[in-house]
Amino acid sequence: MSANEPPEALDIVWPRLIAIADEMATTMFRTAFSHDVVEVHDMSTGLYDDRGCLIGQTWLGATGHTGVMPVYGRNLLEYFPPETVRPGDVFICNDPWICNGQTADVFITTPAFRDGRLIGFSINSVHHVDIGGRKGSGLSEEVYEEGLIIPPLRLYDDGEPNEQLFQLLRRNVRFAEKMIGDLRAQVAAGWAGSRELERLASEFGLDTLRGHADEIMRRTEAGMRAGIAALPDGEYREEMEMEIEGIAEPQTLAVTVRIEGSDIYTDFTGTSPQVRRPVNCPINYTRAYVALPLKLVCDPILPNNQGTYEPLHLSVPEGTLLNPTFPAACFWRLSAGMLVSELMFRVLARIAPDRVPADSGSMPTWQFYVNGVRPDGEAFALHQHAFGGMGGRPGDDGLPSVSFPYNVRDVSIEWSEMETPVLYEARELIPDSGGAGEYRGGLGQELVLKAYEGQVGKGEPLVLSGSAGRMRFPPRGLAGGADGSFGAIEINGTPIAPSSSPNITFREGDTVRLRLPGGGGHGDPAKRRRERIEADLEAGYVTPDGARRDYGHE
Amino acid sequence: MSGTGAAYRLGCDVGGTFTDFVLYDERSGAIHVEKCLTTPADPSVGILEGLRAFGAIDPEHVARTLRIAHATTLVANAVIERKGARTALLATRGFRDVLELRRHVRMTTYELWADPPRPLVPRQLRLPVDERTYSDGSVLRPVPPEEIEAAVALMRAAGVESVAIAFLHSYANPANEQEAARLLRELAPELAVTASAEVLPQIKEYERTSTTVVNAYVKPLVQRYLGNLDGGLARAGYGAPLRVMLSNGGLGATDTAADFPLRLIESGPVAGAIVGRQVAEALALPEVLSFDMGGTTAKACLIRDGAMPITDELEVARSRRFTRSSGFPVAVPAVNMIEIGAGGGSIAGINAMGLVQVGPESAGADPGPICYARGGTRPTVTDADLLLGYLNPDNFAGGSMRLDEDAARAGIEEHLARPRGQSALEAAWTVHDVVNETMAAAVRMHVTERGGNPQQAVLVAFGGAGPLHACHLAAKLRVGRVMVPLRAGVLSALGLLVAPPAYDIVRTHRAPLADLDAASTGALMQEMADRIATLLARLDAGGELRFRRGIDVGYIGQSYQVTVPVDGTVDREEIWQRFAALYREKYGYFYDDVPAEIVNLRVVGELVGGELALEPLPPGPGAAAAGARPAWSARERRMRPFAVYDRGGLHPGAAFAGPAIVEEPSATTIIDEGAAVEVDAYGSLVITVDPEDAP
Repeated sequence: MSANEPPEALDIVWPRLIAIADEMATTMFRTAFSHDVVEVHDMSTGLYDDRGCLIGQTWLGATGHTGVMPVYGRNLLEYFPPETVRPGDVFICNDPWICNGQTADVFITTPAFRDGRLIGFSINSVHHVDIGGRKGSGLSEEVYEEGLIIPPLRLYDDGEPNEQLFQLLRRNVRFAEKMIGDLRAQVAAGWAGSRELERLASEFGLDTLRGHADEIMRRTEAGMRAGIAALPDGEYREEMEMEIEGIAEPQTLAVTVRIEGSDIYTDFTGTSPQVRRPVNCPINYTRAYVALPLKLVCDPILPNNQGTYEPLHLSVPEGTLLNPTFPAACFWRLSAGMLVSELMFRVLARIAPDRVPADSGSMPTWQFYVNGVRPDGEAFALHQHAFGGMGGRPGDDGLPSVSFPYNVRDVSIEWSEMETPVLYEARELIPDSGGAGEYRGGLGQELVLKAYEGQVGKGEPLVLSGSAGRMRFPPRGLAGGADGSFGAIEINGTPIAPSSSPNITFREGDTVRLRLPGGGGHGDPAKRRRERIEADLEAGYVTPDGARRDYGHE
Repeated sequence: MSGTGAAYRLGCDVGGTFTDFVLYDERSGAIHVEKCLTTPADPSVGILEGLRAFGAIDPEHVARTLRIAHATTLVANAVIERKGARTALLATRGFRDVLELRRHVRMTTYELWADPPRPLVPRQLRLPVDERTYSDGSVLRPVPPEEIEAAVALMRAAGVESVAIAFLHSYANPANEQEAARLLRELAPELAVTASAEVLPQIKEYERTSTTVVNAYVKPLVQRYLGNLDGGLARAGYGAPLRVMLSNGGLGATDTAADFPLRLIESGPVAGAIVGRQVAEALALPEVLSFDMGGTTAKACLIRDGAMPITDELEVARSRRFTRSSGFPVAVPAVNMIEIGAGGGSIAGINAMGLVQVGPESAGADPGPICYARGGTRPTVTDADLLLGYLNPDNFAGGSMRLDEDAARAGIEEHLARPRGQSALEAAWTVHDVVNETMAAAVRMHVTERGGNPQQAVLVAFGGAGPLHACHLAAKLRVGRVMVPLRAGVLSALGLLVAPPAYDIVRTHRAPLADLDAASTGALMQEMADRIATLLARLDAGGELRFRRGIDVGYIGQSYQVTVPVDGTVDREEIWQRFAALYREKYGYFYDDVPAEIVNLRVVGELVGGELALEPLPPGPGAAAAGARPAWSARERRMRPFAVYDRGGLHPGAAFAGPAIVEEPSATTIIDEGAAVEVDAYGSLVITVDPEDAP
């Protein structure tokens, strides 16, 4: 093989690596207990080479997990040097500073061997139904309140399960059967992934995957670099404010992006200090949401792997919202973390205006729990996701209420009502919530919740806690487009104070209304084509009053 | 030559471009195939016209036809081309946007413009009704009649022809839907009505609503079309009843199809899987991987114990072909098969990763592969197979067409070999290998979704390109045995003729297994069976009515379940034991300590009799090669001589070893080095692949 010749059968090996990861994901959908895996797809799977370089990843995963896997592989090998790794080992970790910025996301890695020599690992991560602690409280002040922190440990040692660790887990989490069931599903998927990796190596007679890994990463990196190089060099600064529960003054997220050839440097100096609320975003998650918009704009086609991240350089001052230090609370880190993507989109909108939407009400996702007890005292926990509208895009309206740039699914309302006594009165688009523009922002949605009469313990409160945002600072319009609507939460018609980690209590008879923000508009509303306005009116996306006010349409 | 004793089964398969006809004589086993252009405006016109061709074969064929079976892509195409009826949706107040919100997921993570298809019902025709049922089936608010009256006025003004009703939790209690349907039929008898609990009595509002809307959208069209066809056939003198192929691989009556047209979505593609199942049954093979590869797509289906695998996760009208979550879910039972854009006409190019990619884009039949010399300029799988010596340029399609090898080589040179610095042969092998890998990946996923592994199965290959790719595909899947039945190239057309009349119903009925009320569950399943019996009685088909019952069981909290077969009475302990055994078989472990629940009840009814009977052939002389030609050896990575056999000269008992090529008019079988062939009693090639020899 000459220096320029691609490694053996790369045409087969590269797609196979991705297919193996997809198969692992599918196995997990079939065997997991938690809705977050099966229905929501809040998980990911992938493969590393023996250096911990990510070389293949499923197309099906959630963006936080996918974006963290590249750095996690390197972390793993620091804790478990290759010479200590044996067949039959399974590694576990959920430390937010090593993994995905939140205790509920548990990473499982399983080594693969050829002729006794380490060739790589399979990796999978899952958002667990429970990890102990304060059940996703919006009021946590330290990570200790957010459940068990599992440092990098052996869950299986030389083929034997670590029963002491299993016992510790069982004693510390709610819904322990489900949690342990999901963990077992992860282990099984990990074994399957490693077995396929071993078969691949044997089929092609590979003693190491490094040759293929290097070429995969080289080509992927080249794709990203070509995309970055096509952007003009320069330095761009953006800032935005976020509202935080219990803190009167809004806090700042700030980034300076410098593009130099095919490298991109991001510096988050100016970002506010970490807070005693669970919205601090550990750096791994910050990195994932810096990379995501870049990939969307620079190279949406190539698969995600280690190479994707090489041109990206990150500098985040320690002790800030976007690089908090232990033991900062971080359970709802997506409230700040997804806004990192918004900051990046704002920068990119200035330099690649043909490829970037206006601000999206879908950043952040409103992910929430409703905890309560039934009349017999048994606890229940509803977990749901709600989404605002995508910003208007150059050339088309934003999509209504969509998981963007995150990519997960909701929980079916019927399923939710069967599992928990929380009754939904509506899940519906909000007319006029999309910012006006030549290309309108996607509409936000309204979710209306109540306790189902007689099914909740008498006098017992229900507690809704989760991520939220855009209640004080709406999604901005772009290129002359108008802002999208504000986010809001109302109890019996009374709005709560703006918050990015709401923690509200309600009772039987109360009505809770979540109003998700619409996307910002793109372009001058005066340029919006008449047919589009009329179609919007006919469908009720825009009301006659809204059309008059926003477009001067009579 | 059809004697006076002929007894025909007639099949017609309406595709987007062509309508295929097959006439099969049950007595002599003779098969006649015809083709004509589809008439999209009213396909019954083209069918009635095309059938006349059989007059030349047997002027009496009309009177001698005992069964007529029909498959059509009309339903899927009507949705894709948005040619269905103006449709409205009645939804629970507060939830009319469920149809548009889908599951909030985007079909690809990194693309900004990968939009889903627009909903089939625009928002102004999604009409809220202030009714509500809860998950336990209790009615919180009945249907207000005045709202239905108002809806009728609105729909009339808007020219609506068809209505879908999809209320929350109607699978638990359909009373409100039934009341709304009753009012609609009373107030506006001209409207076609589809209620969600009738189409899909299952939990999950988006999937059920989507399914119901698709049904409503195509209903008027399909009713008109089937009416025309039925009438036309009767006028032409056919006395045999018309039956329609359903997505579950069974035949249904035309009025069942007219009520539930969405059951026709996979009407065309399932034929191949039916053939696979028939071969499995005829040869008593416990596990068959049916593999049907044609010009534009390949289809595969793993059939265990003679039962068609069933999925509830079909999608129609995908805005991006072969991409999940890009279409409308149609969650009715359908044969679980994979269909991927990999066929002889699939185009090979270099993708953004710098890798050879084959398909899903296809050169189709027109212009077709470069070697057809009909104007095709981009290399295809067929071009690569020709260069590799796998196809005979002078004996393609029974010698009816000469293939231009020089043009194929030039195309592969230009588009693949030169940019990659490879020889044309190496590039051709890469194309062949990549398309096999693409299919293998899809098959592995198909098997993973169902649990288990494919290695126990016999790969049964057919379709024009199936036998050529089968052995190399088998090696990738570590499948040890490949079978190529006689007439492999035209076999899938027979699927339509050998399918049994069948119908199935799935119903959500959720209960913890620990306190399962066996009597009432059994009664519910009996009700479902009675309904199926009524639907099948419409067919007037004769044959023995057999039911297969199953209960979907899962751990409490899991979203996926395992279908546990139930014979005779429902028994809690037996269900638990069978669940344990199946779960362990699929996933390799089982939890004794986690409680289970039942989720869905399934009943399939099937009229048995009339299957394909494979006839043993008389033995003949041993195999003798007709010649040899150079072809690519995957093991040696070079061209080397392969013995060439004429399929017509291979008789039961014959045996020979690879490397070999077997040619028949409709297909070519490639047997690489290390593999061995035996011809079984029915003339099938039974190939033992060296599983270590993965190319």
